Amino acid sequence: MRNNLYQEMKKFWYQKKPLWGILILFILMYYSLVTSHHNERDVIQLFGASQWTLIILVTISSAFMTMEYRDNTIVTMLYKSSNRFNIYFSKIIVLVLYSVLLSFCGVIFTILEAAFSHQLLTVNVLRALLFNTFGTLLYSVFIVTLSLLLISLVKIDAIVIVIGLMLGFLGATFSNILMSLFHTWSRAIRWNPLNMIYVINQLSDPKYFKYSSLSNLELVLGTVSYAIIFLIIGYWTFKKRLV
Amino acid sequence: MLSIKNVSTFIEGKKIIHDVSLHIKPGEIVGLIGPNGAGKTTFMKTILGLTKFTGDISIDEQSVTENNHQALRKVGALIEHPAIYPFLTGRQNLLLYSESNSDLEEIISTLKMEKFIDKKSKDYSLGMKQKLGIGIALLNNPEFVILDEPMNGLDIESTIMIRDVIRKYAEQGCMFLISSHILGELQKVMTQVVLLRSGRIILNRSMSSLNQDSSKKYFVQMDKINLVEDLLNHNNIQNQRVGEYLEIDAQNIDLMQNLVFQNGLYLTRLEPEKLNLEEKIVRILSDKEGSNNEE
Repeated sequence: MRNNLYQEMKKFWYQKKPLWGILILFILMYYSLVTSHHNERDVIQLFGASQWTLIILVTISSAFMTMEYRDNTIVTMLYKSSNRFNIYFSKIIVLVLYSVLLSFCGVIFTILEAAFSHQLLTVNVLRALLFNTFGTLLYSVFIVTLSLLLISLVKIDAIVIVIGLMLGFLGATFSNILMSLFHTWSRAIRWNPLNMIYVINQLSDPKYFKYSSLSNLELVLGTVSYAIIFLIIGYWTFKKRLV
Repeated sequence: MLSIKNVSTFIEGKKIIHDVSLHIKPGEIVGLIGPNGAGKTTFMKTILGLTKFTGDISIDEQSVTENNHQALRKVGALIEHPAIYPFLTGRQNLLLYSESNSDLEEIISTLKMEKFIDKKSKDYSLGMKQKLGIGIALLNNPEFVILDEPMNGLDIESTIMIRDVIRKYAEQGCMFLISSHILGELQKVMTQVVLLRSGRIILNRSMSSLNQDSSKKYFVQMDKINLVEDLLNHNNIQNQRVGEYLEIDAQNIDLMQNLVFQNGLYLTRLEPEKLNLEEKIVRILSDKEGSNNEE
């Protein structure tokens, strides 16, 4: 496991894509800053960093797995590793660590951009910002496990990226449509995976409850449970995949 | 020692390798040959625990299973094409798997990769990639190495060098399983030949035995060749005139010599037919098919 983690870390950083991801995050957050109304809400929502982080994560996660099949390196990885779980789990750990780094960069960029736009960072704003970051981190684990599951199933990173983008931009809307269309089953439908995206904003802003219909604790538990389910199914699919 | 007993491989429910058994001892270089689609690569992947299989595979009495690769700790492999990350340099690719720095430097110098090892491998030629792939397989002093078409893309100089490297490792006790469609190239290094066809081993022979028993014809040269030809025909000994020579079946050679001496004639040359590996194998296979048909 230690060897696998070491290898994955090295491969990940030598790719340069992660550095590009951080740069793109900064550019997109700056774009949000210049096009926003410069209010407190923008700071709490990290100038859209949560959404951008998810898109960057989906893109990098899917590429991080597909390269192994494209370059035939999966063969060496598989026989050199004592079992397949170590490979799969190491990739997830590296990607989750990257999401932590992206979130950290998101917070730093937010503070810099807030200072740049002369916005006051009160204790309440900072607390809300940190809750938002925690929510983003939780949802990042959900997205990473889902991306690796999808790549094990469909094998084409472009499809996984499209699904990721749809989740990022349309997931919440689609979940709301589902709940309003099937109102009588809403107690069950509110647990659908698309609804978990509210974990990003609801932890800092309880008003989102009217959209998610789940309490904060339920959202956290739901997100973690889905991440575990995706991890198990993803690993099972990866294990069965032919090389 | 590598021990493969009654191994069958299944891919998507279809049986690709049929009940194969094979043993490789330390220092042996086994050449795996067979037509396209014979199952060579699948067989190699099976040994590496990458496919679903039944039967037993063990390396130094430690079992290899699909989910347990502990026995493969001292195994190196190059399967299909070199498994290298294009965004890494050659050295970084080696470093991913290397357990010791001195071993890594030795591999670089043995395979003469100093000139390009610190360049990004996406800019490598096919030959350079192939050398790096072989380098990865030879890292950490392996006890068993699997090489699938190792000479692909290599120039003559590199081919000779790789051949020498394989011999050197084998002398130190390393076992090799090498597949190649260039039989002549394999012939120069292998100590044992295994022929796979439709997922079955149809020939498993040491090179020395293959060299010993496959001469079925002799070529004879003598002064009065027309006279000898008549003599043989008269005694119903099958022969065929090939220019200045007479081609005679090995089983009749003693009979022919007796006749020649009894008639006061002298042979000037007697030599067994020299076949290359390909011709020998074709002959063995045709004999096998013949005996199967008779059964």
